Amino acid sequence: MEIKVHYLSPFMEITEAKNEIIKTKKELTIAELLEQLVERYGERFAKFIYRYDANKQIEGYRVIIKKNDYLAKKDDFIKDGDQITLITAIIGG
Amino acid sequence: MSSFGYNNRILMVNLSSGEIGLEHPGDAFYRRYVGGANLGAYYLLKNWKKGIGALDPENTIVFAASPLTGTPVPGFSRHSVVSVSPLTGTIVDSEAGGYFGPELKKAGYDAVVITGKAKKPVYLAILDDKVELKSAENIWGRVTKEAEMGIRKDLKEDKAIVTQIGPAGENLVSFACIVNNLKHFNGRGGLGAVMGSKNLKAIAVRGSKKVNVFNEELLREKVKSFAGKFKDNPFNNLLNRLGTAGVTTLQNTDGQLPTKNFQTGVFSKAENLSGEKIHETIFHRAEACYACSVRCKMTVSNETEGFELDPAYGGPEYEGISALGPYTEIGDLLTVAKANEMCNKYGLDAVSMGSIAAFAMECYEKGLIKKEEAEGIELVFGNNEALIQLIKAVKERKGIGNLLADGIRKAAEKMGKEAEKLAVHVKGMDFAAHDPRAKVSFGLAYAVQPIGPDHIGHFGDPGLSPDGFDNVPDQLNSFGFYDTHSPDDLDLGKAAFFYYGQMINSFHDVFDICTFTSVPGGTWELSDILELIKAITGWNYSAWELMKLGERRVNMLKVFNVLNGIGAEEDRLPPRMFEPFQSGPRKGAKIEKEALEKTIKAYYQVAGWDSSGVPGKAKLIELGLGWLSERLEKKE
Ligand code: SF4
Repeated sequence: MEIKVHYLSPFMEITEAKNEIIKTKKELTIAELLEQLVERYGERFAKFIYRYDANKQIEGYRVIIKKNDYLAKKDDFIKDGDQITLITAIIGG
Repeated sequence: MSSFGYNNRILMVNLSSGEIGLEHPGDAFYRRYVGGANLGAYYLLKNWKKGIGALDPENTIVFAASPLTGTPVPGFSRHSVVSVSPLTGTIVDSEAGGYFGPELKKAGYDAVVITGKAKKPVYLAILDDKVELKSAENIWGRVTKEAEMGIRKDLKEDKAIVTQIGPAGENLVSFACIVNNLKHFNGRGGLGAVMGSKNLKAIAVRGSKKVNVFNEELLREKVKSFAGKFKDNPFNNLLNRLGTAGVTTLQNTDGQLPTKNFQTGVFSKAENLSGEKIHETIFHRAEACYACSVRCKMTVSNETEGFELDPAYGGPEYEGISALGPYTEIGDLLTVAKANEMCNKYGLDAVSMGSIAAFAMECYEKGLIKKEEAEGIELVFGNNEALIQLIKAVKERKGIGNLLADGIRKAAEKMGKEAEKLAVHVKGMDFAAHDPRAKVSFGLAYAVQPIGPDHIGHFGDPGLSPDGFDNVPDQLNSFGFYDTHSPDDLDLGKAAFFYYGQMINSFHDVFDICTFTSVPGGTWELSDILELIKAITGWNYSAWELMKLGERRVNMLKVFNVLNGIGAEEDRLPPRMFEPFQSGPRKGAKIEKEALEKTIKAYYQVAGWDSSGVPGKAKLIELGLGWLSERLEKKE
């Protein structure tokens, strides 16, 4: 299965690509895809995806995900050929 | 008395008599009102009497910094200007970054309170202890760069920080702004026209002192920690690399970039106006407000004939880009950048200018502005030349520009019922580039905020709980936030969620902290802010006191509006917000009217206000504002 992932700033700065194709054998949820990307791109990327508490434990997300033309939820499944876009959640107007 | 952070000196200037004096309000005053927006609201309310309008000589205008302003801390560069707004008739506090606030503090003052009207154009010169009113006749009518140069030459002070109005303020355009260092703005609410009505062209300040702080070492440590971590914060990282223009693509991808007078949330040419595109084409260099390492101010330059861009005027930022671009469906970067520069030169709020242009274009499209009334300006969406012509016409109050210069509400009222349906405003103030249909808590915010649709009066819900990603950041628990609320809900829980968020942003306006750098989206966390307040003032501050400070501000503003006859009937949204988005990822999203009305009532209850939105006596006494409760009772 192939998923096209689009990166906007500031993700693009780390991936050094505007988009890429992720190949996977099993069906993934949005949350699982994010885990895979964090594994690939490391700690800096993780800081842009997750929000950490004072004990450095993941307490939530700081990213908005668009799947094709709609906003996705973390448990949504991704299908072959879906386009996923990572958007930084802007807080503060 | 040894005060830390503040000078305990407030400059009182009466332009009618020419008298200049000093007030020393004392420690208890600063602990209660602190500075910035609250200090300004206090003096305005104290001086204001029923019937005094925005442009009357008796109106007061206050320029105020906070105890934190001018310390070498990223984000602590702002100051507030407070007065009655000619655009809305409400009280307005408008914050700007840049250098004016820090310089005022270094000159030895916390605020300047101005009343009266000068017989001829003047500017106020503050060089440490030497304060005088000087003639501005030579620079009246000049664009901002020429006026700034004229003042610096007159004072023989190359480094004087000048905050001023342009020709738009002199011509009493209802959305004229105040500009410092040519590129930082007290943009919203038309306070430039208040200065214009007083024949006050500018305030120039130069200070040689240092802000006295309680614990230098702790302060240094905190500043160092910011440098080490702000690039790991995705929002601050984005701002550092692309400025606020970096948000344009995000907003468009997310289907919430207001386009074609708020008819949709996607713009096909948004890429042309993105932060990335600016960097590839007209980017000059990144600049900063005083002491800020985020450096999100992207200046631009260009030499193409007819589209020359002078970096002295800064560069287009997200709000201005959106209003002058997508609102009007103009996708040509050079036109948008030029239009933005013209606003900065003439002292026009770029958001209001873009909004009124988009409104005029839709009116023209629907035949509500006739060709002859437009006097040769082909006011169609996407027409680059029309935008440029309209900016000149508004600044000069010529032809159709004269009608539009009175602001969106007055212009629509004159044009009739059909035009009023197209006017996207609350209380007379047009919308900044955040659409309540995409962030419904903004619907509530825009409806009930005393100064009108203030886009940084609250943080939007998608940022806290992106769809399906329920979480409340740990640090917000300390303010009493425990639950998330779906970004799409408009209900009783959302009223409380918004109220708490409003108080958090409100204390930022009192301490004059840049919200970009601070809790909940920026690098400074709550614990940092509390430590910084301690390091600067010596005060043992708490999250509770911060929230009460924010509440004090909102209640002072609200009391002013009630006294001035602006009540619950103006806590509303314009018709467009009840129409669905026509396209994009949020196609079909709209505000439900009944849900909004119920949520507004719930908000009043959470705030301790009555069912008409009037602050209750007990709430005002709790906040130490008993004197305002008495004024509400006497209705004066
Ligand atoms: S983040 Fe940007 S706007 Fe805020 S203080 Fe820093 S440079 Fe100024």
